[in-house]
Amino acid sequence: MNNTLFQLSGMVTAMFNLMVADLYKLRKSLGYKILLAITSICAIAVAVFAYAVQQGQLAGDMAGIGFMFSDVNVISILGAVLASIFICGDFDNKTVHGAISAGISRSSIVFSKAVVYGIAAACLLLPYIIVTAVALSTPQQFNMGSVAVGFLNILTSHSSMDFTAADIGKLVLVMLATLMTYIAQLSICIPLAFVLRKPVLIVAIYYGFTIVAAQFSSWRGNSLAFDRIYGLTPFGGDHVFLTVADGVGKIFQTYAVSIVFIAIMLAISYSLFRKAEIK
Amino acid sequence: MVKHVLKTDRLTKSYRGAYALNQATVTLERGKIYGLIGQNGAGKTTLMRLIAGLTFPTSGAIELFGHTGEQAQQERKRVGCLIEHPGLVPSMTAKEHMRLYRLMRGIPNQELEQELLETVGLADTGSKKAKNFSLGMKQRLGIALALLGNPELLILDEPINGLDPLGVVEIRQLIKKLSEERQMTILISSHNLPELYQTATDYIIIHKGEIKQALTQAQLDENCKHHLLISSDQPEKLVSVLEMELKTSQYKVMPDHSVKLYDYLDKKEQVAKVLFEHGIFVTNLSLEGDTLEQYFISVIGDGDGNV
Repeated sequence: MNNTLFQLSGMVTAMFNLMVADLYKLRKSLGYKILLAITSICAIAVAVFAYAVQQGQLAGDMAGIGFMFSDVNVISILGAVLASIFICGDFDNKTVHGAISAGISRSSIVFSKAVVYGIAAACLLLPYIIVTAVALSTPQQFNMGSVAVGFLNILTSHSSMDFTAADIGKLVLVMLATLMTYIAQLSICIPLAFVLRKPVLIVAIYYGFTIVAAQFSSWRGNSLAFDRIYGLTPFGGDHVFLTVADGVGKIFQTYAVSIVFIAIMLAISYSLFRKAEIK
Repeated sequence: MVKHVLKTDRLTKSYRGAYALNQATVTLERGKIYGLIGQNGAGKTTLMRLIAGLTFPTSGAIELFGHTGEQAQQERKRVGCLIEHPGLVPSMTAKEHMRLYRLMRGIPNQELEQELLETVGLADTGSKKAKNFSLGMKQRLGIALALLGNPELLILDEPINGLDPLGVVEIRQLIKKLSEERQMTILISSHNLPELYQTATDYIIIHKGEIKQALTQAQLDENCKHHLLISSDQPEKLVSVLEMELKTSQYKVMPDHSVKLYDYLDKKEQVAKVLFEHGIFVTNLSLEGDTLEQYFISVIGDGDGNV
């Protein structure tokens, strides 16, 4: 019993150390800073598009171009790029080798990488959260029509709304749930990165996957059973269409789906990496 | 305290039926420097990678500091490694690498970063990124990273690759110092056998995945049959002086009448003096014998390519 506790505390310490080291590395990473700059620019750009479309300064069909800057589109590319830089990069430059030969368990490596990857992805989405919050605090109206998903959906659904204190609390919950959904979606990149270790493959597969997932979403009305099953993944249901009008139960369902999905992805990652050769 | 830091028991690694390592059993003792000798593809790096936990054995076991299995992974905290190439992030400086790996290992002592960089001669690299480092600088940084955490077992795969002659001497002195002062066990592979001969205290010869021989420096010297080769104009008198004055029968008269003396190897001057005092005119007096390279070839069998 004592031995197990000792091992567990050692594992937690190792994980913490690895997370601190990974965050230090991210802080020094030019690649990550570039990704952050891109999402910042895109977040502002998409708000400008939504404003211009609503004001009639841009034609409604320009919303399609604006979608290219939206959170759902940008994160599906940059999130995979992040996994490439952060996880595949560590295999390339042998930082993972250093961790293993330093006695850090593979489970600690998978878990700490997943946590830091989640934090890094959340930071990439932070500009969208900030831009959405700032835009909602203005009396202006925003509209992106049918392409509004995720934070863009929050922005277009609540623009010029008068928020009560309770609404603001719920809005925070909705934003965090949307953030969590994105992180859960991106968690697919973790096993991919641990197994394939090739940046190009990760980006291509994940982007392809998001396109297929979007296609699946369009079939939602065809089968109730499919809709229910697909809704148990962060790609299905209304997880990226949450608004303040949704019930708390629905919001927490999104949290639950995301957490379970991430846990499954971590379990898959660990089972694939547990006995993997480190070239 | 466990005397041996590492024991492998019939360690085998095969890839699609081809053995990279076959039934390798080795024991590494505390405070010794083990030279791992083998040709390219002999299994040196595979053995090191197995010890480092980067790959798993097909069969056999590794006992690290008296522990096996999952516990052995915990014990790897006491191991420092530089296998093949050091793990460097191209956009980071030497100091940033030291910090990254120090944080990863959870070592609180920040001063260690500069200390180790000074030890390997990289203290003045400033803001130079690893991508701009020479091969020798990368190796030095790799050694510094391996030394983080004051390991008890240090694994160095070709550490002098790319180092200039002065760098080779510095690393040799560092390795010896670590072994002597900190009782660190060092497993070092190199194709530079004369250099390895000056560094190692023990040798492990590996060939085609099999451990052919493990021997101490003394055993190697014995096997290499080091001797003093003496040539003179009076071989009979020479032999008589060896027996009567130097009290040794450890000699052999060769067909060309030269004499191989297996004794007094470190006392060449004494032998010369005694022979001179007895009026023997010596035309040659030199230390001869197999080199490590020649011995290695004799063990693995000649004609198998480069070392």
